[in-house]
Parts: sequence; C-alpha cells; structure tokens
Amino acid sequence: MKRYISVAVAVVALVGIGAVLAVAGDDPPSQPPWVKADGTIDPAKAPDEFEVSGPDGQKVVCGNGRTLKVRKELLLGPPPKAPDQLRAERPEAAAGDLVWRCGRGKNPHLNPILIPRSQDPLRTEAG
Amino acid sequence: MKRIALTLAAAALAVAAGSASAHTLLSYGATYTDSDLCVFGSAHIQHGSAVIDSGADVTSVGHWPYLGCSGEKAQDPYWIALRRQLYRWESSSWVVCNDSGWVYNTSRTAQVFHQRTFQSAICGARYYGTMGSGFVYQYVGGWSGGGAWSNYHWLPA
Repeated sequence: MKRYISVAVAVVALVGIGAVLAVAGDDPPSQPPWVKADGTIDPAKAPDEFEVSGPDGQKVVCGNGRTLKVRKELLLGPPPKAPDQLRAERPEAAAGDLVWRCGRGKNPHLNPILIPRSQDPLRTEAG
Repeated sequence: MKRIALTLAAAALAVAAGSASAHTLLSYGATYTDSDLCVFGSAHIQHGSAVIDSGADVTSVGHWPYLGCSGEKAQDPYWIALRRQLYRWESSSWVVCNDSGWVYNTSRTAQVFHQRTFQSAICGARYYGTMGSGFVYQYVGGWSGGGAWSNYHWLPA
C-alpha cells in the first residue's frame, strides 16, 4: 500500500510540474537582444512594435481581429512633450493603472491609445 | 521503488520551492552622458512570498572635468521623466503587461522613482521583467536618457 501511495505522490508532483510548464507553454526566454551587457537598452535593436496586454492579462485584440501593436517609440520614449508644455498641462501623477486600447480607423490595431484604467470603456467590475 | 518515488517527489518540491523563493533582479547604469550631464537609470523586479514588486528610477547627475559623473544635479519640475513597464514572455516575444505611462518630477529634484506592487502575476504564470525608461530634459539636446532592463524572473500565478 505504501508503495502505491509513494508512486501516487510522485506522479502528482510530476504532473504538477508538467502543468506549470504547460501554462508557460513557451521556451524559456533569452536575454532580449536590445539589452546591452550592462543592463541598459539599445532602442535601435528593439523590435519595431510590441504587443500589449489588457487588464485581464491577455493580449489586446481589436475589432478587426488583429492583435494591437504599439510602436517602440511610444513605449521606450523619449516623452512626446517638452517641460513647458507639461507645466502648462500639469499632467496628473500616475495614480493608477493605464491600459492600451485599440484606436479608430481602418487599422485600429496600428493606432493604439493609452488611457487611464478608470476611463476604460471596456472596464468591468472583475477586470 | 519507494526510495525512487520519494526522491522524485522531493526533487519536484525542490523545483517548485526554487521557483517560488524570494528573489530580486536589478540593473543600474548610465543611460546617457555628455559634457554636462549624466543620466542613470535602474529597473528591478522582486518576487517575495506574497507580492511582486516592479520598480524603476532615473537620476540626474552632474558631469565634471576629471571627476566624471558625480553629484546629483537637481532639475526643475517636469524636467525629469520616467516610465516603468512590466513585460512578460509569451511564445517567442516580450509583451507589455503593465505600463505606468510617463511620470514626471513635480518639484525640483534630481531623482524620480516609480514602483508598483502586484498581489499576483497579473498576466499569468510567466517569465517577467521590468523596463525603466528615464530621461532628463536639456535646452540643447532635448530629452536625454534611455532605458534599463531588470533581467527576467519566473513568476507563478
């Protein structure tokens, strides 16, 4: 009996590990090619676009069925506005999450907008 | 057989415990240097027993003859910008999981810091890393700076 219990424990443990790896579903990542040896970034080597997740953790898919893509300039910077403009506008400090959403037009997946989550029209109680 | 089974179970538990143990990854370096200014940036990701911590900072530093980069160099409001992004690995690419947007200094200072704590891996059980992008404004040259990458870490759901 003890033998069966031991085997069962081992099987359960291995199945658990398998489940974790299945959730990962991917090869382990390699260091991004745009990261230099000292940990700083070389934007020229970054992909032109990145996919983004919504509050649910899933990739954002637009109404046309295409995955939303954000150009690296919009993610890595620099900021689009100079200090004089910012001082006039007084942007609020990042008090909450921001979310990427699809834009308008024929190609909403190529026209991303970044909005406060509190203003997200797709916001749900759960998400 | 019993010994083998117990060994396998122990190995499985060791792997699980190893992936869940507390761990901090941090990168820090100069992202920009000219004759007057050095910009230093950092990014980190920390996985503790209960929470996940993703953070970044940018520091404006003076650049002096013979001394090199030395001493904080304070900047007026909105002259320092920082953005923290949490990335996750999926299939074969890095995907943005959480984005702070641009954060600016609202008083005269030399450093801006942004940190976010998550109660779980918000984009599922994946490898995660933090990207920090920090810039300092100059009349000549505009926004000067760059990014830092924390390196990546497996985070269970």
